[in-house]
Amino acid sequence: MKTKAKSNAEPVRFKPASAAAILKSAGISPKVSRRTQVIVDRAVAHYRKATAKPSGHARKATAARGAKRR
Amino acid sequence: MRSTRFHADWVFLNFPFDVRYRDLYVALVSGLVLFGLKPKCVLEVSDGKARLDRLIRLLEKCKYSIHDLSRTTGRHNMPFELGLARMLQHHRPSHQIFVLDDQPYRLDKTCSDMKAFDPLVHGNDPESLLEALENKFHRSERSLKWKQVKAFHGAVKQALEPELRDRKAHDPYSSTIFKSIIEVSAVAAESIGLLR
Repeated sequence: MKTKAKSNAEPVRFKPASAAAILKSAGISPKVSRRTQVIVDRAVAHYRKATAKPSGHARKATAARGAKRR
Repeated sequence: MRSTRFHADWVFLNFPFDVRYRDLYVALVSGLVLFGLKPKCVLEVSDGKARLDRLIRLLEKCKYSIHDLSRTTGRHNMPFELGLARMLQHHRPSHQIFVLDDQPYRLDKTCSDMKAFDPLVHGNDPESLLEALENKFHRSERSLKWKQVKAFHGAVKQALEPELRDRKAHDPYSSTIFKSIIEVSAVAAESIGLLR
């Protein structure tokens, strides 16, 4: 007997592939070109900036603004 | 239908090659790479004789397929490929289909046969699309936080913007750009430590 076909309703759980395996599967050489490396460096910098914790000074300034409003 | 060996981490993508879809396309491909999945698309299938057969073979090798029906007016490729995937699922129930749309409940009217599929609604917003996918695809190890997914998408989009801007309107939908999005996303995710 066939099992019930799965639809959107059910979330899936999987083991994530490595970056090397993803590149290999797409037929991309593991050796990164200089042009691509420039784009990657740009992406990493943007990511780090977006996820950086605010400095102590910035945190204090935000807290002070909040206290003033209260 | 003959049984074909499929890959547990391949995802077949079926989306419109539309100028206004560009940001969603980048989000879809880079997001799946970040999750640790391998996106596959018709862009990898060369033109010529028996193209449809090659497309079917590619679909058969994928465990999952994602079909965006938000731009079906005048174009029949997306619903057609969804039909192929549904037939594949009939013969291989482990194949999982995810349907995307930009409006809720529209699928009930446009394709009532797929009512049970409860589409993931993105409202043409890349972040909503990623959030919908993030709710469905869970890593069994090194789980991701939504903040990381959102920041990664923003970073890849900004980094690729000059590349995409250089090309003419329809060029983002070339095999070269598709591979470029995969490469940048995989290498950046590895550098940041979000992928092995």
